[in-house]
Amino acid sequence: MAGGHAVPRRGEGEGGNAAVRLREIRVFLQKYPGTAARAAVDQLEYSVAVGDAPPVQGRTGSDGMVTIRLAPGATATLRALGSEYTISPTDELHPIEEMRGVQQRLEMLGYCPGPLKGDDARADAYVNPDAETERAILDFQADNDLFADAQFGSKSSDKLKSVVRNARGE
Amino acid sequence: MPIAKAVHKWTRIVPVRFFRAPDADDPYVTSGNPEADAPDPDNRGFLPADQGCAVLPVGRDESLAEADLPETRVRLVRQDMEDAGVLHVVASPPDRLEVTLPAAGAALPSARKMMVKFKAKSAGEAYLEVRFGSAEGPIIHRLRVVVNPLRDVRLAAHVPTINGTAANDSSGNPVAARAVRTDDDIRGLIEDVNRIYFPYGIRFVLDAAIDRAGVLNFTKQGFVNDMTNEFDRMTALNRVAGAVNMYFVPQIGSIDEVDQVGGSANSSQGSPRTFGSLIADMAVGGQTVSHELGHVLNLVKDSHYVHVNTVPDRAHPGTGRDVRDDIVSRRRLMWAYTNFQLVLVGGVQVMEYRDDVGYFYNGPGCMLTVKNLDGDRTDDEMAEVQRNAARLAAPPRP
Repeated sequence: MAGGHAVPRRGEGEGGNAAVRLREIRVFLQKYPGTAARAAVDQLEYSVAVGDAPPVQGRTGSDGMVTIRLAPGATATLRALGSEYTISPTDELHPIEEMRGVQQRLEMLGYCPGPLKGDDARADAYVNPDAETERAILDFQADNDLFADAQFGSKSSDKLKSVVRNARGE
Repeated sequence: MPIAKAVHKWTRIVPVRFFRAPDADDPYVTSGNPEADAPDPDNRGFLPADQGCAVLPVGRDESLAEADLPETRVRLVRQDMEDAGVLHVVASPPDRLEVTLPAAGAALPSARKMMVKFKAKSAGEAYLEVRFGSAEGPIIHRLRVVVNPLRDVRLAAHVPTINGTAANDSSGNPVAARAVRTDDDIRGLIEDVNRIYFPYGIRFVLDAAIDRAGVLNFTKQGFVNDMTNEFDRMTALNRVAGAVNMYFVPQIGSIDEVDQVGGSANSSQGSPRTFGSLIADMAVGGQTVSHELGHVLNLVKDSHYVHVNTVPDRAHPGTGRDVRDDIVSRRRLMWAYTNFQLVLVGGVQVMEYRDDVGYFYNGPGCMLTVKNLDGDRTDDEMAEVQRNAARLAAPPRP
């Protein structure tokens, strides 16, 4: 199944209840972070299992995308790269003014920040929570023509928000 | 163990990444001395867009037979995939790099951190491609490798005698006499320097004889005040044409600055008649000498030699923070004055991770930038030192 198919189709795995509204989650397998198409890993085999339904096999296309449709409260298991990823949807996107909101967006883009901060610490404070998050901020700044100083001021904030929003992530 | 992903609409998985390999055998070691064959990748982001990855500088001594070529090493880290995923590393093009670890056709080990070794077979650019499943599998990451042929730059070392009035420090105490640098000390420092510069294709070749005949009368005994004409008078002493002249002296700075300044230098491009470097006895490792040689090779490219990490950051008053005080800047050779003071917020120390950026605890780094981000004047350092080294190594004009 090439080109990022929806897995499974509407209602599958939900006892045929077509009234259930499924939520679409997209997972991109990439060589590098960011939203550029050149980053995609093409021709990568994967499988997706939702609930008790049999896994659906696929192969990424030129966009590296795997699409998963989930009923409310359901999780999916994505197997790719010899790894198992447990995908659970979340409605919560923390405000970008908070460090955990910054981390969440960097994670969405593939920059691998550290574990999300559990509090609402401000993103524009001098303090970075860990080396991974500082590196992720630096990488994002470097990739987006921003002054790479690991500080998350208004320019970095605006840029991160716009990159995520332009990819329909906000 | 499955990797949990709480996803808001979409997410991107970037499974692996390259890092410096300080230890020759253990890929889990993250910090250590600079080594000629363990270069520091310029992994600031993933631009430029046409390359989209980190850049690894690698030196190549063209005089060596192929069998004698050293192995360069770099670590690959699984950052968002499990250890079971089968990974291969492939050189592209294969005639430029030869991967020696893992062995030809073998997969990388099932471990979070893995060592990759290779030989640089010819100068130019190439890629290390990380492929999934087999050597022909999909490319899941790349590292750009720039192989630099080695260029020799002559270095003339001097250990002058500096006469002057007896020096007391600002507290009125006599400044203790310093042991004179031995030839072996100096040769050891230059060996350290060459470990740092080798990946960038530069080797400093020390003259066989170290000049100890020079005598100067300055204001204070054993002191060079580099903010006066004493700097130029020093670099004129027994100056050797066609070489970088380096002067090993007891103290640099004013009388109030006992053991405060490790080195001083000016640019061969900006000061073609007087350029050179002073190294104080307090400098005990090659990092300081390498930093000063960076200035000789026209780094920082700023006529006032302002290291931007010494400029207080107005955006964060009261924090003691300087502009561009971050973990990657601390890895850079030309940011040697980075302040390693404790960072306290509400009386609690934070960001301790910044105290070790890969060169041991509180150790400044040795990386030159290869990338040129956003027109930053402090970037593109490898190209700058290579240009100036080539000029210095060129035969003198008739």
